Amino acid sequence: MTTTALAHAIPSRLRINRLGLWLFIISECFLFAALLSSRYFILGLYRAPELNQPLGLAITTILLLSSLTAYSAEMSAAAGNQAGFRRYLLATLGLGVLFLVGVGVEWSEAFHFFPPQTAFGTLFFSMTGVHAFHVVSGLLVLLLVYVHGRRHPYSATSYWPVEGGAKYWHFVDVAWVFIYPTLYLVG
Amino acid sequence: MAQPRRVTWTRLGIIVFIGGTISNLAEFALAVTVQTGVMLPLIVLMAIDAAMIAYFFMHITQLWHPEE
Repeated sequence: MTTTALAHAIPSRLRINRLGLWLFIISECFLFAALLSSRYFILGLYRAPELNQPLGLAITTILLLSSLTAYSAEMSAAAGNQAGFRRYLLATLGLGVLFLVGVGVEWSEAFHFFPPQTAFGTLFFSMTGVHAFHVVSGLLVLLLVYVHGRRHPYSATSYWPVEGGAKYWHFVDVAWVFIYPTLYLVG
Repeated sequence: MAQPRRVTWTRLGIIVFIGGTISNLAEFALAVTVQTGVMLPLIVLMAIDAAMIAYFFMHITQLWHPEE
């Protein structure tokens, strides 16, 4: 086999990285699918009337906006625009923290109206808690990407950490796209 | 991935964000105004929202077109 043929036969490092991340994301989908199905299995279409629906909508919009800034950070890195990459990634981190503050406000209300001992409370705290854990881990990943990018600037040909971190962050957003209506709107 | 043009990706990102926001607002309005039978429309809106993010932001097509 010639060197050229061998190069085509062996998948590039980037392709392997992407495939690995997608397999990880797919495995995470099963976790969230189990949580979402448990909501309907245990509660049917019941929803606690005290749920703060406008706050849920607000934090959903914040998370969607953070997906836009994460995408912009990735595209800036792909174009070799370091300043843009840093600016958009910092915006993503800020919006992620804002989302967590919103979840914290919801939790303080939820503890009062439907504590974890109740059926709805159990599901509410499980679903939002597991998701918030993913938000925190996503923020840590993006923070590492930011610090790494400051020390070793990403180039247009080498920005996998940004792409991987952004993909994971988008997944966190997609998971919330399903959790928000399931918890706040159905019923 | 080919070098994206700033104008192109900025416009695409904003369109996806506006689309997602409209979808979220529609879900909210539906749940607040309609009492029964909202499940199916909500599932459709959720799927559209998730598909937009997966397609445009996560570049899911890289799975079957790895050269992109």
